Formats: sequence, structure tokens, C-alpha cells
Amino acid sequence: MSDEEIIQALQQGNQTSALKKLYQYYPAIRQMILQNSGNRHDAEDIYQETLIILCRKVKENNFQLTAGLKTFLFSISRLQWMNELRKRKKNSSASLDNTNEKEEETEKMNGYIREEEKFKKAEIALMKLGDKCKKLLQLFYAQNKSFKEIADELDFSNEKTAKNQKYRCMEKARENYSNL
Amino acid sequence: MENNLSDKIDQYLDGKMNAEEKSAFEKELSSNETLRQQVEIQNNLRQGIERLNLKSNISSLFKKMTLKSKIYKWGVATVAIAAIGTASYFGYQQVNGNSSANYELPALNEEGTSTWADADKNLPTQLFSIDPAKDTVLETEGGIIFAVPAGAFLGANGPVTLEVREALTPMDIINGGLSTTSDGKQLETGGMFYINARSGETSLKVNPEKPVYANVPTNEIKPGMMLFTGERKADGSINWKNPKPMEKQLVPVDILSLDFYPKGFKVKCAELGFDANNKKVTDSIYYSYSGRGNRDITFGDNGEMTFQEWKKDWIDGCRKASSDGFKDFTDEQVLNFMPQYSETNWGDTMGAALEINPARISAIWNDKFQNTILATKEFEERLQVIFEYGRPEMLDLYINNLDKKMYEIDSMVLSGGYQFEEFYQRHDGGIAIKENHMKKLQEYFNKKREATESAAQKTYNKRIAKETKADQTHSEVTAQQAINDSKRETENLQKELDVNLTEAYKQLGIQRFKPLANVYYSFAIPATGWHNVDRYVLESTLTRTTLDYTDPNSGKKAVIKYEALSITVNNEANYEQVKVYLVPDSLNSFMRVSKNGAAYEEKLNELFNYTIIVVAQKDKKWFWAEQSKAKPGSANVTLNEIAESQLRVNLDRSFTKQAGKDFRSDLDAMIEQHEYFIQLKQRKKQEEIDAAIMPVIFPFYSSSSPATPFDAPPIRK
Repeated sequence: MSDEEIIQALQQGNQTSALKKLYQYYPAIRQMILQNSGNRHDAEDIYQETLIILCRKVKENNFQLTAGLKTFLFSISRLQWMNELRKRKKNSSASLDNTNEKEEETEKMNGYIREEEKFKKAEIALMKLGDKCKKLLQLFYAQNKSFKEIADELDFSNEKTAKNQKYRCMEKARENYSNL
Repeated sequence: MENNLSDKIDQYLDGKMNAEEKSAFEKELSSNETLRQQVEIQNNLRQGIERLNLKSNISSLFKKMTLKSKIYKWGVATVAIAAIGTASYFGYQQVNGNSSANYELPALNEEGTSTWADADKNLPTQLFSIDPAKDTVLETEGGIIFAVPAGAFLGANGPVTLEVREALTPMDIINGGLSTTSDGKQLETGGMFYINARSGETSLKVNPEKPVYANVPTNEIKPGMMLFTGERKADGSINWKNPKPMEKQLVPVDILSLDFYPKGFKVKCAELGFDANNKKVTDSIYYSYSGRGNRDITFGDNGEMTFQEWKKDWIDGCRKASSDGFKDFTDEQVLNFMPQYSETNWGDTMGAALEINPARISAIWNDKFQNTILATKEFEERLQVIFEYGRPEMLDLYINNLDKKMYEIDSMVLSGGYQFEEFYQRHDGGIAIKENHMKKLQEYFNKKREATESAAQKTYNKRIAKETKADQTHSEVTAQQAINDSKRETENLQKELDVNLTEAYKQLGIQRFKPLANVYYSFAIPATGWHNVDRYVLESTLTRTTLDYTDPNSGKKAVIKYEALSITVNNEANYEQVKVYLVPDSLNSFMRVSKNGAAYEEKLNELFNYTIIVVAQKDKKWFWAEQSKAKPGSANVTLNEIAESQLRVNLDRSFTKQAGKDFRSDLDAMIEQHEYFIQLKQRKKQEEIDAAIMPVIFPFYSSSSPATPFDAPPIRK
């Protein structure tokens, strides 16, 4: 799969094959994080977030890869890790910049990261929901399933129940969100 | 928030509003701060949901790609004089050290010479006083953990002082004037330490039989770490030499105290109400599933398949699985349905069974394998990962190499392409075993495995055979009953029709011709004008509706009333197989009443007297109710328990000989059905247990996926 094919696969919702391919970059990114006072958990978290950013970005109409996919993944991971290190104040002078990225490129990537940061609060609110709620909302909003399909999959007696449950789950999430 | 507002916001966010709606909404939005916030929250939540969805996709995929790290839970790598698993520390006494600023180096070092290196002088010394007759565990300021077994020091009597100096950080190493060179070559360091034991002024030697163990903290285990011994040089530096691979000694424990079940198995057993702490119980459950998952291909000398064999197997399997046997296809064409597996990768995802057969576990988890590498915590841990892979050939490597060191076997697993690097890097040792003993164990393993599997298979086959037989008997009985029913219904109809016709003719004042044979639909019409009567009576009898016929010639009427009766059985839900019958007095037969909603409904012919009989069963007991002279309208009956012998007596009383015989055969069917019903309930329970437990034992097995690699051709993605 070329970079373009990977991106196409992601755009067309064919995530599994693309993600499998993207996994090949993980060891290198992990290495970078391990060498810079991170552990394996950090590496996993960072790379996961990087992939989330990529998956969500490619769906935007005007998305264009300026450099290679690998560069993109590396930059995003590296910037995230620098931010994280700064946050931890472990190594405020942390500099992982042995790269030759352009200033504006970095700014753009940082923008991506910040955009996603916004939604992490919502994610926490959602994580506090029960499993069924989480599943239901994902089926409805992320996988665009109909209430009929949702009722089938989650064993609701009918579409109406599924729909009502959806309202209830959203309401609960909203409440969690406001209480954060 | 109101539901339709939530929908509206969704519509807005999805861009599904028309221009008019949209501008109205946006206008509202610009002036209504609450609404604006609500939209923002909803949008954030929706984005969060999408992130969650992605996250679960990514992490489930990652879990498949890499197995989670299992070593770092203590954050400690075992660097050692000889190192030992943390489990062995239990029972050791804890000693705290004190580091003294005024400490002065003794005149002589551990070798009895007066040479001290810069590091000895520059690094602070921590002193620990221990009782050499007791097992002791101590932790240094830098986090090194030493485990000193009783009797570790030769010639110790009275308290022993341990001197420890450590340089674990680059700063310590520089301050200590240490370097990391071995005969001029640069080394990477995992930390350096000095340890010596003294009794008074005398340095003690370590008993080679009972070495001191050390765990040195590290962030990352690096492969190939070795332990170097320091040699003090005249210039105050230390040269590191005599590298030894660091090997962790394995400590055998009672094999029966280990847990060789797949993860979550015992928890599941407990959930299902079994005594999960009783190994006999859990064993019998676990081993009973031997051979129930995917096909377990034996790898090794006797059972290994070649790619050619596997291809042939695949073709045969496809032909068998297809209804027409792929008869129009050549082998080559059938192969085209197979994904592109080649000689080199075919075993990776197919062919090899993705399961660990419980029979294999039964063959190793017993006293025979005490004091082998299998009877160790280290193996227990590996086994869990092997379960995750579901590859029996990984397990077999350990069983077939009991004489090897654990890390040597790990490296074989590693070279098979499995992620066993982390295990390998621990450099776990082995347990000595005589070759003869090992051979015997391997023989035992193969026999025991076969025995367990065939026992489990037999039990399972018996169960299936029993179920199949019951199904068969049941369908035969049901079919016979249906035949009896329809025969009886026809007879009843004929008899009732006869009675009705006689009555109708009587009412109309006409002499009725009796047919010669029991053929009612084709008898001769006695006179013109009368044949209509027969048709009306037949129709009324068939549909069980009231006959109301007026003779067009004489104006006389014939009326035979059918009126509805509705029978309710009190507490019906408490019984099984409730059957309601109506027994007409002059028919020498009975009719089964079918249920309509909550009640049993039938229409009564006014020419008959009916008796209601209800029979039911529950837990192999009989219940009976009888009500004579049933009137149209509704009737309530209450069942009472009755002995089977009494039931038979009642039957003889209620029926004529022929009807009684028929009725008894109906009851026999009922008994059979009752037993079948009970068996079905047991079966359902067993199936529920299977459904709960099988995914734990065989995580890769699903009833919809092929039980053998070829039942359904795999789909190429």
C-alpha cells in the first residue's frame, strides 16, 4: 500500500487494512519516545493519538499531505511528546528537534493536536457512561447505524427504545460533561 | 434537554437543514447563549464519540499486533550475581541500611589487598547488618534489591555487615570516577555496584551453592546485558572483565499450585455457579472441552502436515463442504478459492489450530511434571501468552525441551515469529533433568493427552448421540400422534355428521336413507329437493356452526345448535404439557381442544353431552381434572395431582374400550414429550454453559467459523 492508498482506505472507512499498515511505523516512534524518557505506555498512548488525528484529518475535505505519511506521523508524535514532557516538567528543555521541519509546518501540526485536545474532555465525559451507552452512541454517531440496526445489535425491543436510549445516553453524557 | 432540540442540533451539525431552517437556527444561535453552548457541547460529544470509536478500533488492532508487555510490572530488571524471581523474596526478613558519612574504608578490600579504586573512595557506602543464619532481603538507596539466603556467606558466625556502594545514574558514575570500559572497549551500563560482606574485619566468601541475588532497577531491559566483574587498577580506575550472561535461576514450585487455565476460566466457572476453588471441579469442566475447539493439528515428528498435504486437505474439505462437490472444477480451480497462501506462510494463519486443546494441559499439569521447567511461575506466565496465541506448537517446544534453559526455548519460539522477545530477554535459566526421565515424561505426555482427549470425545459423542436419538424418537412420536389425530378427527367428523343428519331429517319429517358404507359424500340423493339438506348439514358439521335450515317445500325447519365453550385451567402456568379434551358421550372418542389466547375454546354440539378432561404434567407427576355435562359458556377447571395407576382407572371409567386405548396412546406420547421437554431444558442449560465457557477456552473459536480449517473457504480480504 502506498501512502496514497492508505489515505484513500482511511477516507473510505476501510480502517482495518490501513491501520495494519500504519502499525509498521510504531516501533520507530516507540523508540523515539523510549529514548526520550518515555515508557512503553507513553509510546502507545502517543501513537494512538497520532493515528486518531490522522484518521480524523483525512476526512476533512481540504486535507493534503505535504510530506510523506511517515513524516506526518513522526512530527505529530514528536510534537505531542514534547508537549507531554513540558507538562510533566521533567525535562523542560526537552528538545527532540533533530528534524528539519519548517516552522509553519510545525505550527500546522500543533494546530491539529490542539484541535483534538478540545475533544478530550468530551471523551472523559463519555468514558464515564455505561458500556451499552458508549456502544450505542458509537453505533449511531460514528458508524451511522440506523435505530433498527442498533436495536438488533444491542437487544433493544424495538427502534423506539433504541432511540429513547440514545437521548438518555446523550443527556447523561451532557451531564457528565458539565460536571467535569 | 428536549429530544427534538437534540435532533435539531444533530441536523444542524450534520448539515441536513435546508437554507431556511439553517438561517433561522443560526439567527437564534447568535442571540441565544444557552443554545450556543448546547450546540458546542453536543458537537464536542459527537467528536468525542468518534474518537472513542477510533480508539477502540486502533487498540483492538494493536492488541492483536503486539502482546502487552508483562515484564515491567516491578520496573526491575534482574541483573545479578545470580538473579532470582521476585516471588522467592517472600519469607525473607527485611533489613534497612544506613549510610554513614563518616565511613572509612577498611585497610583491606574483599580480596585481602589494600588496593582501592577511586570509586570505592568517592561513592558513599551503605552498611547493612544482617543475621547470616536467616534469609534477608534489603533494598539500597538506589533501589537495588539484594536477596541474601541463609548461609550465603561461608564461615560467617555472628552478625555480618554488608557494604554496598552503587552507581546507577550517569552522575554517580562520573562522580565515582568509574568508566565503562572492558579492556579498552566501551560498554553500555545497566548500573554498577559493589557488595562485600564482613564479619568484623574479615571479608567473607559467598557460598557458590547459595548465591546472593540482586535486582537492579532499570527502565528498559536491553538484550545481551551481561554481568562484569570489576578489577581495580593501580591508577584508581576499574576495568570490567569476565562478562557472564545474566541468567535467572528457575525455582520449581508445586505444579498443582500454578494456574494453567486460560485467563478468565476460573472466574467464568464461578460465575456459572461452579465451585471454582475446587481444582477437581474446574479440571473436570476444563478437560471435558478437549478437542471441542478448532482442529488441533499436532506439530512435531508424528503429526506434522506438509503444505502439499494441507492443500489436498483443503481441496477435499471444499468438495465435502459444497453441495455439488465442486464436480465441475478441477483441483487447480478449487485451489483458486483459497487465499494466496504459499509454502512459506500457509501455517501462519491457517492449518495450525488456533487453540490450546485442554487435553494438552491435562497431560502436563500433574505430579509427573513436578521439578521441571513447567513447574515454575515463569512457565505459567508464558503459558498465558501461548493461550493468547492459541498455538499448540509453541507449547510443544517447552514440553519437548525440558532439558533446555527457558531462554533457549524462548529463543526458539522467538525465531518462530512470535513476540517472545521480552521473555527471552529475561534470560531465565533451566532446571536440570535426566535424559531418561525427560523421555519418559514425553511419552507420558503423549499418552495422557490422547487419553484425555478420547475420554472427552467419547463423553461428548455420547451426549450428541443421546440428543440425536431423543430428537428422532420425538419426531417419530409426534408424527405418529399427528396421524392418530387426523384419523380420529375424520372418524369423529363422520360420526357427528351421521348424528346431525339423522336429527335434521327427523326435524324436517323426512325418512333418511342410511348409506351402506361409511361414505357420506357420495350417497344417492333420496329425492329431488332434499340434497340441499345434506350439504348444509355437512357444512355446519365441518365448520361447527349452528345449522338453521328451512325446507323450501314444506317450510319446516331443521336447527342444530353449536355453541361456544371456553375452558380456563386454573394456575395453568404451574404445569407443563396441559392438554384439554372434550369427550362426547355418544361418540366413543374424544377431541383435543386447542388453545386460543388464555383459554381453550371449542364449540359444543347440542346433541351431545360432553365431559371436560384435563391432563397435565409437572416434574414427572400427573395432574387430572374432570367435569361432566359441560355447558356452553365458560368453564374453570382445577387440576389435582393423581397417581398414574389412578389415572389409568379414571381412563377406563371415562372411555369406552376403543377410545380409552386411543387416549392412552395420546398419554404415552405426552409422557415421551414430557421427558423430551425435560431433556431439552438440560440441553439448553449445557448449551448455555458451553456458550459461556468455550470463548474463554478457545478464544479463536466461534461456532460460525469453521471447526476445521476447510469447512468454509476463508475469505480473502
